[in-house]
Amino acid sequence: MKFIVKNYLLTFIISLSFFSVTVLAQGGDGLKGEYYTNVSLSGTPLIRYDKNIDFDFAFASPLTGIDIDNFSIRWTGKVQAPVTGSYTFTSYSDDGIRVWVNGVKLIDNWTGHGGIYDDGISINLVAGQKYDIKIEYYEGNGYGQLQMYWAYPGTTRTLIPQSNLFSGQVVNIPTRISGNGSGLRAEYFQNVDLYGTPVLIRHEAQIENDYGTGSPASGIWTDWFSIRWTGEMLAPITENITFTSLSDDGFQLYVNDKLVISNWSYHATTTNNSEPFPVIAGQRYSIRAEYFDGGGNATAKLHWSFPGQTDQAIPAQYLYPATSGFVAPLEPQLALTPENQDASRFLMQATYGPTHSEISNLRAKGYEGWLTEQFNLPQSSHVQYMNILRDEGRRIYGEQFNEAFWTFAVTGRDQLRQRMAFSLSQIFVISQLGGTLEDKPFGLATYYDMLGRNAFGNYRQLLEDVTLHPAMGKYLDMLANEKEDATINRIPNENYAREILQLFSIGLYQLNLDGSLKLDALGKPIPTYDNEEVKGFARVFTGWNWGGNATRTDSTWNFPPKQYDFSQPMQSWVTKHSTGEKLLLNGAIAPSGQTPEKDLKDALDNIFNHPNVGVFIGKQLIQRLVTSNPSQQYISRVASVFNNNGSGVRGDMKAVTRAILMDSEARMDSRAGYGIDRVRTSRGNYNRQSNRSVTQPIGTPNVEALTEADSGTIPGSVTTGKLREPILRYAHLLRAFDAQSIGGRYRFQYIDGQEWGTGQSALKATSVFNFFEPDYSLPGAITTAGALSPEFKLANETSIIGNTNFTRDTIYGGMMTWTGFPITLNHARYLGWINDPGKMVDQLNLVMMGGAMTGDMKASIVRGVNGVWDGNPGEKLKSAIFLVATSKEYVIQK
Amino acid sequence: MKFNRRAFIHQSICAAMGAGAMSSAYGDFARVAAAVPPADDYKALVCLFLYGGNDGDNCIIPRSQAEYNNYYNSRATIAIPQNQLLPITPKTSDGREYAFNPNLSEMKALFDSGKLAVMANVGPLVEVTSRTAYQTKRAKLPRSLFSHSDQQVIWSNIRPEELASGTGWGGRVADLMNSLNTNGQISMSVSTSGANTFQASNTIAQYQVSPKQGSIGLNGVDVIAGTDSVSKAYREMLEQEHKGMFETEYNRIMKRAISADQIVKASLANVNLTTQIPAGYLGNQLKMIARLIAGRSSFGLKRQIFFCSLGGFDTHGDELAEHPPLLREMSSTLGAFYNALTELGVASSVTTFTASDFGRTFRANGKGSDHGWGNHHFILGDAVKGGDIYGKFPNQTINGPDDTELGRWIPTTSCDQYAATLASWFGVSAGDLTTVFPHLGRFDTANVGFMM
Repeated sequence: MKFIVKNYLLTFIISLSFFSVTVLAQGGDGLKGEYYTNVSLSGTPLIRYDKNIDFDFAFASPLTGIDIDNFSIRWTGKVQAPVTGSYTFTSYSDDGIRVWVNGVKLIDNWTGHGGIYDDGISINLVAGQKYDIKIEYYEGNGYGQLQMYWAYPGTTRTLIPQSNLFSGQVVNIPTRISGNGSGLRAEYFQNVDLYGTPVLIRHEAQIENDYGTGSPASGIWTDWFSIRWTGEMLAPITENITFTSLSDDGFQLYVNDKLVISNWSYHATTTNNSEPFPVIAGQRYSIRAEYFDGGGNATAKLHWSFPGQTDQAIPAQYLYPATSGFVAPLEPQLALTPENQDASRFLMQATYGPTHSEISNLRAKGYEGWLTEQFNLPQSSHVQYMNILRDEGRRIYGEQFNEAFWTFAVTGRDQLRQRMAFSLSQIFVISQLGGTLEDKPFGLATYYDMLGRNAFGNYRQLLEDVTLHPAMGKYLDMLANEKEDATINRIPNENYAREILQLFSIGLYQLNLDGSLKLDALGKPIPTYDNEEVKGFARVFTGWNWGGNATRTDSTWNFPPKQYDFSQPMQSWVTKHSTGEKLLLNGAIAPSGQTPEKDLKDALDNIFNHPNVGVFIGKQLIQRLVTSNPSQQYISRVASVFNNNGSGVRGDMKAVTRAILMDSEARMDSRAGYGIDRVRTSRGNYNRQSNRSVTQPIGTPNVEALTEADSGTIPGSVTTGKLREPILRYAHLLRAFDAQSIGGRYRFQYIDGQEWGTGQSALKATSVFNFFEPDYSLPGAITTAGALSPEFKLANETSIIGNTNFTRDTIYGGMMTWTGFPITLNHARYLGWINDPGKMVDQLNLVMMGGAMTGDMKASIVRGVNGVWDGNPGEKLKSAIFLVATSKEYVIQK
Repeated sequence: MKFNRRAFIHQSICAAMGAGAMSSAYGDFARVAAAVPPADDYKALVCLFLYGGNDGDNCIIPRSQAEYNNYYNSRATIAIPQNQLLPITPKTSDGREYAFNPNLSEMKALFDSGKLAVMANVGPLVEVTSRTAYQTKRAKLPRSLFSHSDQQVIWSNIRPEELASGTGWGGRVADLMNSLNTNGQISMSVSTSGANTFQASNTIAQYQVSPKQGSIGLNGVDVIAGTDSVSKAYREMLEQEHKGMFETEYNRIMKRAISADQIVKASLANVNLTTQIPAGYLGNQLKMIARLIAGRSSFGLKRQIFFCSLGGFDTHGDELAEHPPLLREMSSTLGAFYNALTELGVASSVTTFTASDFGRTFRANGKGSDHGWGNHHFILGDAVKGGDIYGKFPNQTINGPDDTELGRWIPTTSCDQYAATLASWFGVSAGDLTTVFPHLGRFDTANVGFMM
């Protein structure tokens, strides 16, 4: 059995003689946890050191290698009493709990139960003394939770803090290596952006500065300056070092080019700690500390601490100055050529937004080469992301799915797969809202990964995986849906049956290949199914419950041992399955007496082969990726590929994805609507410039039923493109400007408020009808024009302003998340652009808008930028990004 | 066009009101039912949409023993125990006795005091429909019965056969009544719950406010009066025309928001409302609506239509756990909202009514209920002839005369009649009612009678 020993939580001081004075003040490291794969604390455990006892396992596993249910944990170590007097230890547990202190059993409730408090018998402890503590806990099934509290004279019940818990883990502190360094290179800039040529370069022994309201150095203003310190740090010891900054105003620290402290904002003196950073004795690590002062008091200090070393300014002997200045890697400017614009526009459709480097990458590989690469890249796993955090002992809760989502949306290499997963999540909707999946991060993550896994697979498999995923089972009530019972007037639950037909596959009305409605003799649309079919499918979807259970009896049906194990598909209980024959689509019948599996196969095959599927799904994917109002020809071409990928395979999602993105309509008008080159004639043809660069030949122009008003010259007349959803806009902003985050984690949590935020999170629609219906049309001009505008359902007076303010705050100040880990745009990389505002705006036009900026808009932004004080180069860049990112021209993807 | 501050505000107000109100091109919509209204004339409709399909059969429950037994036997797993019911005595008896769900205690008290009425078994109809006609498929039916999205739309636009959602009946009523708002500073249609079909109009915009904050203004730039170069650039860009329709419409919302924020912030700052409305999803919305009503004089509005909502009523899975808290929230919040309106002196000027996707199957599916059709609804206010049940309570026999199957009741009153009764009170003339509700003439009466 694998033994896990992690000591990253180890920040306490071993009682070495010359440090012994500080032991009490420094506090403890937590307790040693032994994790058993049974409820009886037997066998060989997995080991993890936990900083305190504060666990909300919920329905998930506590540690990789331990099941979600039927596990037990024993924590041992010492607890130190802060005062002398009577102590009451209290547990809040689900399920069993036993606690000993100083060999006395204080709590004993070794039973299965829901979350309850158990107060221990009182015990007298002496201040400063350490006492043995042993906590045993088991989780049977269902929800799991454990918190350990105490109360002592002068306090009410509080969680026992890490500082009073000692695991007894033996740590050998090696001999400290001496350094012979002398400090760091310091470069001073007369602006707050480290911009331009330093006005002063000198050597400084430490970063330990309290400038007050004065100047940091002769010739430097008392305010409005920035400093960069560079060089190397020698590690004195093999340990985890915690870096600490004290700053007023902004400070950020890179170690080996990794951002470890980030607080690049205006603030009074603030302390920021890095996460423990592992180093090896004798090795050198590059150090880059950056700081600015905007006004008022100025402070900049950089400290470290590690086992055996309390917080201190990093001594000069461990610092070695750089011999030359750090040169921020500048983003090269790309020419605003038609080819680059086409590439940018393609990436708007295929990724979470173009970046300079991705445009270059696409140009180098070609469209087919880029697609092939994306089809083959390994999938970013949201489940794995959360598992890693969980195994580090972090608490996993609902918002952590959102964190995983943002991390991969911004940084995942498999952009096309992730973008497809997001699109599919808006068709096969489950939601964090509405109760059943609230605070079920593993339910969300397994489901989302499942969508990503099937994004380039086959729709038939996707439909089955969606149907049998327990998150969907919970969301639309197929899980535990029981067969009819006339004796108590019970009928099967119709919820999933109705929505799989209406939303996940064929829709309400029969469709032609081009997306238009089939009409009956009276000119009326023809329903795809009636209530009788819904009842038939409702009975198909009976008899399924949580997967992974060995026995399938009435008892396990009612209380499945594997509840909330979202990692396994649902499983059938034959006795709970409706046995009669079931009416399916188009008059097909699933005969009576079939197994649940056979009924399911028949039903899903029946749906899969309905002629609507390719049209219904294809059109929505076009809407998600390319345009709200695809032509009938475009829909028809994509649906045809769904029906047959060219090799006789139906439902090939890879082929469908390629067909959508490489379609002439997606590609041909790359400069459409830019006021440059697209004019539709009165007969509805496109007149195009001939200078094409897309590797795929352009098809024949599409003929649409267009009116004269669509000539493209009348303000407000052209309905091409789509409103970018808030998530897409925000992810693009972070991608386009190389957002920096500690550890590469985008800890965005609770950022989906309308009043200040995105107003949208993945898997968080208000209902199974998604954030917006595919046929939503904003009342007014859009409805009058007969056009669709699904994303406009999210655009209102509150959300537009709230989103604009949120975007502005991110651009100007960095996004201070609720978790305290800010995400900041890497402005330095783009500051070189400000020398020529016109060219800078061209760069924004290319990477943000695919070249769609109008001349008037560019002129306004250039004027706006030129009006910003030259001594504030960062503000010039930020203003330009802000003006583009919140403009009507940007938010509409062309 | 050149920008100046005055032009911006003027233009934005036009946008806020819906340009039609100031344009002769829309004169046809500007007919007004009432004669010249008195100076203090003010009326507001508040639509409370219960998303998901509220189970009306667990809101209004027959308590006569035989009927209760039938109720219990049909849905034992989700039935409300008889001894928990809150008995009511409608002013008009149909020979049966009724009760409210125990979680509707405030609404029950309002019923008792004559401020709240019940509209029984109302739903979308194309024509009066019998069970026989339904079963033999000879009936003309609303499209896509039992589908959430479609029935939400049909309850909102009362155009049961049309595929496109088009305009809502609230929007059409607003088109007719907006000319009373001669000095409107914001749109007469206000939503605290996002975009909705009910208020959809091609001339009157839905002003979608934040339930908690009302309006929100731009930070960091002042597009009205800012003299810094970035504010100026922002202002220029807002004024630049674009041939894209999406760009133009997005810009329209943005400008509407900016101009309305000036007015709404100032107005709400002066509102003094002492009645406590419980915080919560619905409470925040109705509290904002009460505050906006309190500040109505600064908006220059004689007629307002509000939209709010409460979701989660699609109780397929575990109705006895999911439904009661929703009813508690609805009842306690509506009770407090009524008290707030009384404090503001407008309880007779503001009428609140419920709508929902559909009723639910009378028969239980296990621990929940599925999508139905006809449903019971509530109307609240001092202008309501409360304390009574209007329409015809259905015969709750499975496969009985009012059933399609499984207790999906065929409505005995159409949405047209329900809405027309409200619209008449609001001031829409008899002649205009048929414009708003083209099918109204197919049903026995245009006014169900629950309004004074």
